[in-house]
Amino acid sequence: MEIETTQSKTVRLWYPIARNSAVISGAFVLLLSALILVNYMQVQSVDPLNSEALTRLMQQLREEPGNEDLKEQIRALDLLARRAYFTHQWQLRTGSYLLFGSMLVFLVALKYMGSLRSQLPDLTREPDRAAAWEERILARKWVLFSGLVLFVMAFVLSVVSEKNASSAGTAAPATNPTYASLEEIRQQWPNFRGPEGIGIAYQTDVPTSWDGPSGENILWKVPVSKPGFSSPIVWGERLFLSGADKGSQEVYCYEAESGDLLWQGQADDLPGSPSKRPNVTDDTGYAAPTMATDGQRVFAIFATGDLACWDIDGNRLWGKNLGLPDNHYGHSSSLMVYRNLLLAQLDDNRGGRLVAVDVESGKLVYDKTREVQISWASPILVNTGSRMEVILNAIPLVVSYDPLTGNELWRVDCMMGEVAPSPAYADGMVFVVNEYARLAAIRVGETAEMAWEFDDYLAEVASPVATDEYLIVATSYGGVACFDSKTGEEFWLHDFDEGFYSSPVMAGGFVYLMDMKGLTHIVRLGREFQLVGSCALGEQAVATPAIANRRMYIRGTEHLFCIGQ
Amino acid sequence: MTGPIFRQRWLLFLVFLLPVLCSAQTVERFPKPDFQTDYTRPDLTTPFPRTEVQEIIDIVVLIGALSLASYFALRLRSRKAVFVLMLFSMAYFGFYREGCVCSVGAIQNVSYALFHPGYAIPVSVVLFFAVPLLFTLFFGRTFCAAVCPLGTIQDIVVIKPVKLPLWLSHCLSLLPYVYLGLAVLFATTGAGFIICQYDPFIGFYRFSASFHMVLLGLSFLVLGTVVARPYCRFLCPYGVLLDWMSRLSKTHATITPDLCSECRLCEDSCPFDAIRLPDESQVVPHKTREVKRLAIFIVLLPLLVAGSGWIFSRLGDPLAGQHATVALAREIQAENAGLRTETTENSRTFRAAGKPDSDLFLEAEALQRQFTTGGWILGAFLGLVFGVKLIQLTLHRKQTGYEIDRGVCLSCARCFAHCPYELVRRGEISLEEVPEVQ
Repeated sequence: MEIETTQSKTVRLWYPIARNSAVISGAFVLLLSALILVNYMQVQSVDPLNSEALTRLMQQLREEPGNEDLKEQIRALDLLARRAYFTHQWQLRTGSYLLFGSMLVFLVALKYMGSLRSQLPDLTREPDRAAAWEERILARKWVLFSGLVLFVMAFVLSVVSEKNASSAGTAAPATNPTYASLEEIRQQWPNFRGPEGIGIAYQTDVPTSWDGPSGENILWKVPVSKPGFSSPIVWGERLFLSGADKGSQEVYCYEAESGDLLWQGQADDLPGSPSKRPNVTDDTGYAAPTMATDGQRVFAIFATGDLACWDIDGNRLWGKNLGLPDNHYGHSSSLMVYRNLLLAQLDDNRGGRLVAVDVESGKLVYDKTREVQISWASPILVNTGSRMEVILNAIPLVVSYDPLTGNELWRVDCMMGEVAPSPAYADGMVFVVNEYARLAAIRVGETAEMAWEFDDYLAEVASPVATDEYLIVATSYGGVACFDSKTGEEFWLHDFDEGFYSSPVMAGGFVYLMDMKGLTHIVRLGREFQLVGSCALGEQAVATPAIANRRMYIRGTEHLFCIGQ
Repeated sequence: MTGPIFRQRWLLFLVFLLPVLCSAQTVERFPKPDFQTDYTRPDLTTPFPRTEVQEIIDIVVLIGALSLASYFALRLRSRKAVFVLMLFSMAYFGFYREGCVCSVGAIQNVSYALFHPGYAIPVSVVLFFAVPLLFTLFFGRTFCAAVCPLGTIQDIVVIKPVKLPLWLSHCLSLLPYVYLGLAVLFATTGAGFIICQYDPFIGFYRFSASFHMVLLGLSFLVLGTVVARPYCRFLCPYGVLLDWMSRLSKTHATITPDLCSECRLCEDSCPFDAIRLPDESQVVPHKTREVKRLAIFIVLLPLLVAGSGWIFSRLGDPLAGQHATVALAREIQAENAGLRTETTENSRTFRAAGKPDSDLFLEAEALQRQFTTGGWILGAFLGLVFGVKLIQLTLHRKQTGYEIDRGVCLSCARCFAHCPYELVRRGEISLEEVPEVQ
């Protein structure tokens, strides 16, 4: 009883003190919290260096730069504003310390109150042990439910993010078939070395005689304002060409019939474009890659990695940079379109990439890393029997990819040196060549295997061209060789006076070989060498001719020529 | 006799620590440049790097505090001693060391170090991570009781704790696993140290935090007045590891120093719901159905693990977006594609550096793959956690007497004084005064 009495006395004495302390400190906590909050909001809203008055005075000073009074006013106001700002901060900090202290008192008081009035548990209440199991079952249900909620939310989030990613440009290509059929494409010259990029024109009645200096069979001839080694491309009545120098990057659209310049586009101010143009060599330049078109849009890439798209009326639709190519000569791989994908081979000193972007939006569809070194070759896009394949040549690999996904289909390790010639294709055989390496024939199917190889008459720049019977290789020192494309048997060899950078093209049973002087040798395809004629352009040329509308379009170093009868 | 001896020990302890506190002054690793102006440099908002000597002192203090906490909880069985040590830990590990590095955050350093051999993790960080786990393996969660600055700040605000419904506490107890999984994923991929980023109490210890973090911290403290230590129980990722260690602990604090007479006096003493009631007389209703359910949960566990892994692997993409490199790559991609008309400071800086876009994209692609793999692991882990929880709630274990749940108990020593046998041990009452069990 004595102990209880002492405890009661303690409670009677200390409980009101603790309660009052709690009330006072609690009120103080609330007051301080409110003040700190107001102060914080003030600090947030105040921007001492951009106050309205200061801005006005600064403006005035700009008009009266010699006004010393004004300067003094600005200094004084600036000091005042800064002082106010730092005072607010000091108040905030001091307030925090005070708040911390008062909260401590508040808590101690509350805890002490609790300890003075601690109660024994209600022992009269019998524990309901039967209900304990029910509680566990309920808990299990809730755990199950919350787990489901978590996993469903995660799943929904993943679906939503996938959709967002798709709209942001990392999803699979669209399936709307607005693209031209292969038959339509074969009537055009939509990219480097024509349909499928293999140097074959599906047209007859192609001119076999012309003379640039005299103008014979030259339908029109126009100068090109910007230099470039890119070749012309043609779709319907429009011809497209790119040109660039260190200052600007341009594309030109000519009327194929008349040579009139219909429009001219600038590939400038593209997002991501490097501020400084890369260094390139004179024999490559800034516009070596040939443009590509799908009939509705045209695309151009330059040595800067700038990629741009225009509609056929010259409205620029999109533009972007694919990364500045680290290329000591200059980027020269040409573009290729497959369905709604624009494909770019980007092999530079850092490694290789195959990039596909959506033709409509320019959004990246895939960007595949290639285990190769730098190259200057361009992709070819062929149907190898059961599927479309995009085939790329580089050191040390010739690799085939699914153009829709960028997934690798096969690879053959056979190249070395600095690879510039693009592959050729005919009847299930891929042909690759490079100087100081070899001429290799690869039989392709589900996998690929080397069919035959040859070590002489190796091209340095010009790409080979093939049919199911013949393979033509033109070298940079003037030698031209014709092989049996199936067996590698050498049919004929002929040495011309000038070397070839321009890739040979075939049309109407002839192969057109334009040397570096602009002289085109027309050879009838056959087991024997049979020269049909040699036609001069009148200026040097390294670009590859385009064949469309029963005409031939050739870019010389100065002019663009249209040849026809 | 216990009281005066206890006070003497405490005085000795404080006297011992005084020189430690005085000597452990903060210094800057590099001297500040002197610009010969009147400019007053602002105080840093993050702690200064510690010197080697200071790091050694920190480790010694940590081991000392853990030893004392274990001694107070297991041998001395004194709540007062634990409370005083708690105040010291707040002062030293909280205010003086500004909460850094703490054992909770060290999870991230250790995870990062495991996957980045080039990262030289300080020995002190490894010890801050491992030593509390080691102590827990031997003595239970005494680190939570009186050493962790995040726990102690919550402990002092516990005013009138309420008992949470069992279903709620079980559901909430799953959150630390999610947080741990995410924190490890983000740390290993280098996306960030989210535990530190979202530490709600560090701002109080540093007297510096963003408004939102102060608000978050205050919310936890206000909630903590009625739901004891909400962060420790329902968020702390380190608590998951401590929970596992504690369940395996060699010795652990017990409610009674002797036998449990089931007097029920301790029933409401634990604010953390860590006391398990005896269920000797409990009969499991629908036993056959429950056994079947248990079998189903066990059989479905691998499916749950695999399914959850698959779902979270699909989250690799959005999770990767939290990584600065991936975010920048997406920004650059969007700008290149013309989807953004305005550039950001990040993208401008990147472009000014002259690094090729392709390098960035390749780096981002590799990171995305890491996040996908990490998503698989995270998902599988969470699937396992949920599955095991369901099995746990279906299993019936017989228990006599009031026992501590070793995983949940924070060894705070609150329940001891409620046991009459403890009072007998302390000499406050005689054995005859122990209430008889009805």
